[in-house]
Amino acid sequence: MSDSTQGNIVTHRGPGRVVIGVYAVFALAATARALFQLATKFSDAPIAYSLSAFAALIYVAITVLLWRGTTSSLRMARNFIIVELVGVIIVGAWSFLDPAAFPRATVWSHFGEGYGFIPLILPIVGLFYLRRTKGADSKDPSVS
Amino acid sequence: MSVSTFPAAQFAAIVMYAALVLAAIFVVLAIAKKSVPTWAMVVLGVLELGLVAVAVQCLRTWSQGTPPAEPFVFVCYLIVCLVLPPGMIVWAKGEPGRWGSGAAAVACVVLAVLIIRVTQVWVGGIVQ
Repeated sequence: MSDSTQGNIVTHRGPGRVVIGVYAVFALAATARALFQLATKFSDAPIAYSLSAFAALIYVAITVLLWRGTTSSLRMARNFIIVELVGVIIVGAWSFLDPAAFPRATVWSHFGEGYGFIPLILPIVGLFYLRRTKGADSKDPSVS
Repeated sequence: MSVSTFPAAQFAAIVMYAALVLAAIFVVLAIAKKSVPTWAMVVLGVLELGLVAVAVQCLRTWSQGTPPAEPFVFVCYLIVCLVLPPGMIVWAKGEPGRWGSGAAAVACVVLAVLIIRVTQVWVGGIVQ
């Protein structure tokens, strides 16, 4: 109650710097890749390339939301990260069960194997980070 | 499209391993709660010079009539490779303490991966 600090959690400091950094890299990489794939050879693998574009949008959204760091943007970031996690798991499983649907790889196929499984680990780290940040934020008032 | 070997493959590999070693050093620094030291920035500068050398070699080979298998993707990766070390310095230096070093460690790993991708995209065939 006593500390009403704008509701802005400074996410680009401390561990958030690492988390945002990784998301920014993935946003950039996935966007560039998706644009290239959609522009030049969409018909080769429509499902895979659509999913690449979807993943790219998710990564961009999470990066921006984390960077803004307001309470509401972080809540939205959390939702997007859950979508990301579900996406990696579904696409990962799908690409193993039905390889024919994925003649080309996406960021998320085989659980992000082509990216050192970071796509699978990143959302988990992100959720942990957000939980911890939120916990640290609400710690002070709860002392009473 | 004929498969051509990557120009300056060995040199690129050296830069890649250097980036990995640097990543390990940054991890140690982060664990020790140390900020990014000045000498690490000098090392990054040297690394950047190495990357420029690789890029020049690639572009020279290209201009002599041997293009990369995936020209557009190759150029994208190459640009990101070249931009990453200076960007990393700004990003990591802006954060004193262990998390600056942590961010630098991550960036070094990304750099190493990008160098591998650059060589793969040049040769082609692996991009599926």
